[in-house]
Amino acid sequence: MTSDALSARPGYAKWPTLGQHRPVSVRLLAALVTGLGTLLVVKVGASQVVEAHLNAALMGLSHLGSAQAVRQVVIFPVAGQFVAYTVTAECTAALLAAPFFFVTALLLAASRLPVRRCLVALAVVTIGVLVANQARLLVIAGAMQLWGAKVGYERGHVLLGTIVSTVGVLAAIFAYVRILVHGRSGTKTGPQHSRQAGKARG
Amino acid sequence: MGNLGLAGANGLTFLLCVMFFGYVVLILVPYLRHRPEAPGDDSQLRWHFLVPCLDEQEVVERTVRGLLKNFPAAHVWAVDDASADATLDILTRLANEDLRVHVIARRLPDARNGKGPALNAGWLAIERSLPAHLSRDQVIVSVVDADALLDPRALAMISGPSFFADGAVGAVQVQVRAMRDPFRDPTDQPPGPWRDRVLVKLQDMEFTGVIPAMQMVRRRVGSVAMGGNGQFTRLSVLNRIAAERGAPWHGALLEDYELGLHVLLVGAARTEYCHDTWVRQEGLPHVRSLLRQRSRWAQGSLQCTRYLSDVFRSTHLSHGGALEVAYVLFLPWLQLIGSVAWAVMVAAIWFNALTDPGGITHWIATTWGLLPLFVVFAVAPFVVWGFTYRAKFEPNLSRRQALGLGLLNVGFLVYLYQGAVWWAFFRLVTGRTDWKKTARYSGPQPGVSPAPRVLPVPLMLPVPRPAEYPSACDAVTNGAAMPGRSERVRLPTAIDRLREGSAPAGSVLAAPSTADWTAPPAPIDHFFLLGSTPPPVTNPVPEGADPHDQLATH
Repeated sequence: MTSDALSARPGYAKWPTLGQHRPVSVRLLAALVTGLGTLLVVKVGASQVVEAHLNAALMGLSHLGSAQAVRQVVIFPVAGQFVAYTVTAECTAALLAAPFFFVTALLLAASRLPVRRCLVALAVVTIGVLVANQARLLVIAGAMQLWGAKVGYERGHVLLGTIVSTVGVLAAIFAYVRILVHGRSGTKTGPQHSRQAGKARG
Repeated sequence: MGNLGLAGANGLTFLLCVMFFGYVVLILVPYLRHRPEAPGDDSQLRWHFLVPCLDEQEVVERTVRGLLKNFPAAHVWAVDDASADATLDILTRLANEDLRVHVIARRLPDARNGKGPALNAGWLAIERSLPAHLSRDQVIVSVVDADALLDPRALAMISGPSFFADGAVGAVQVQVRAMRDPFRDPTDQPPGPWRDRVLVKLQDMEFTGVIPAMQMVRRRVGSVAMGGNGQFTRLSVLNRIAAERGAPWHGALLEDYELGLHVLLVGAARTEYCHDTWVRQEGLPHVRSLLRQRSRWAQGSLQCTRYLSDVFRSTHLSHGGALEVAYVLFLPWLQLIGSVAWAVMVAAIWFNALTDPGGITHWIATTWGLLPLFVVFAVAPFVVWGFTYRAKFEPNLSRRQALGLGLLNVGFLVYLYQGAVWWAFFRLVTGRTDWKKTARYSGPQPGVSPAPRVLPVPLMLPVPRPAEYPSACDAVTNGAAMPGRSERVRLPTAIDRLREGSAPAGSVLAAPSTADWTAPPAPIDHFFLLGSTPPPVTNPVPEGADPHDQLATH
């Protein structure tokens, strides 16, 4: 079987110049992705501010109370009093998304997966991680509304919020891997294709 | 910067925990849903067992006898790697009793350089013993440890439609079990100190649980890994690897995983895993020897990172397979990074607890949610295997015992592997790649290589064809192409080479192919000698006599 025929099989490498180094433009793209990931880490403070403002807006939309963000602090009313929590560096989605930038950059630099698929997977996992983190912050706010500021924060911050972010981040990772591996839905993977071909050969 | 480092460690440990939890769920589902597969007809294939031996006098005889008894149509090729004990004597006696046993005796300084070179010597001897017209696709070479018992149904199971009956399958790995005595029933193991018994049980739980679960996922993406025991490979695939890379087995400390990579990279061959049959081996009852074994595995995995470029460039691996192999190769590095991140996080937690303004009681009251998270992420993924082990393999265990094994599994899989991977990393950066044979419970501890032992006089039987070509091993070593099937490679007689003293180090003196595979092998030269110093010879061929005439007397 020729290399072209092999690489045409679903689930297998389709890069037309398989075995050769990728074009300079792709390597530059890999460098850019690496740079973005590094920026997420180095400028995590900016991410904290962005997420705080996003969280305040989402709290308003979800009827958890009219919230305002001041830098990385989110302020909202609970039982007639104003409370606040800080979106710290540990709480931001930036540090969770950054490793995927570095992994994607490696995949781009390697002669394996199509560029578009890598970028789509990266976009999906980044958005997924961001959504999961915002959901976690909303759960914390909701717990504080439900059980009071102190008790609600203790229950929401460590336990409930972690469960929510775990499920969300897990789903994002699953989507990332699925997009990288499978591409279009319904595409057979290589080994199944080979297994069926082997049976046909007897 | 300190806060950023702490935040980074926090994020990294969270990601690693989530990924690990998801991975365990991913591999558990197909494992629990596995259904037995149909066996096949093993009479259509030719079976050859390679048994590498280094100081195996305690165990090798029953292993060889077990193979001969359970698989009467198979041949056993025992490779003695300059054992210091009576292993070679035992093998010689077995070879004299049964024509299906062939012994390859390696000598220093070529011997004791790892399992790979010993297996290569065996492979070469098998290849040279076969008639040229025999399809190598139909010949299966299996590696079986010297302390192993193979399931009597093994050959039938791996001849099934999902395995060697499928022409696309190049290699099959079977399930491995760890026992204190592989030749006794799992429920009838010998008594001993409870720590020894538990440690072996933990290894058995790992071999029957998490490793098969990973292999089942690998079946779906086409990246099944080969193990060191119970691996079966088509001779045609081994020959193809040798043609491309010099020899089937190479120098990584994880030569079995490396072989599996080569099977995948040469293309047109799939690796498979058969969960419905098994090979039992001796488990290691001492933590120190277990740590040494796992550090060797970890270092071998680190060494195999050099194949990453080939893996990513290969058109024979699916995207999923390439990513899975990359994950396996990066895993030791992830463990190194993760152990640092975890150490930072644990230190931070302790620091917060001890410096909480309200005291440690207040800290516990505000962070009690950490405990269920710890149970879910750090304990449950390990404990679950205790219950699957009880359900599938050890129904005599109580639920409490299964829970206990599961809890011990945390320390076994986490701390043992952390220790092993750091030891391996230290050895890697200090350039130490010497091979440490895993110590056997019933045998001598590995030590410094002994001085060459003078062999007892072997019974040498002549090879009937004169020498015209260099040995195949020389050809491979010198980079020459493998002889094609149309050539009948005629090799030097054992007697000639010994008389001349011209046997080069590492060469194989092999029997020629038999004319008719279905006929019983002629009783000639089932003793092979490698090494630069030939032993003294008894029963030499008389001057002027035709070596062929010797056949009539045996």
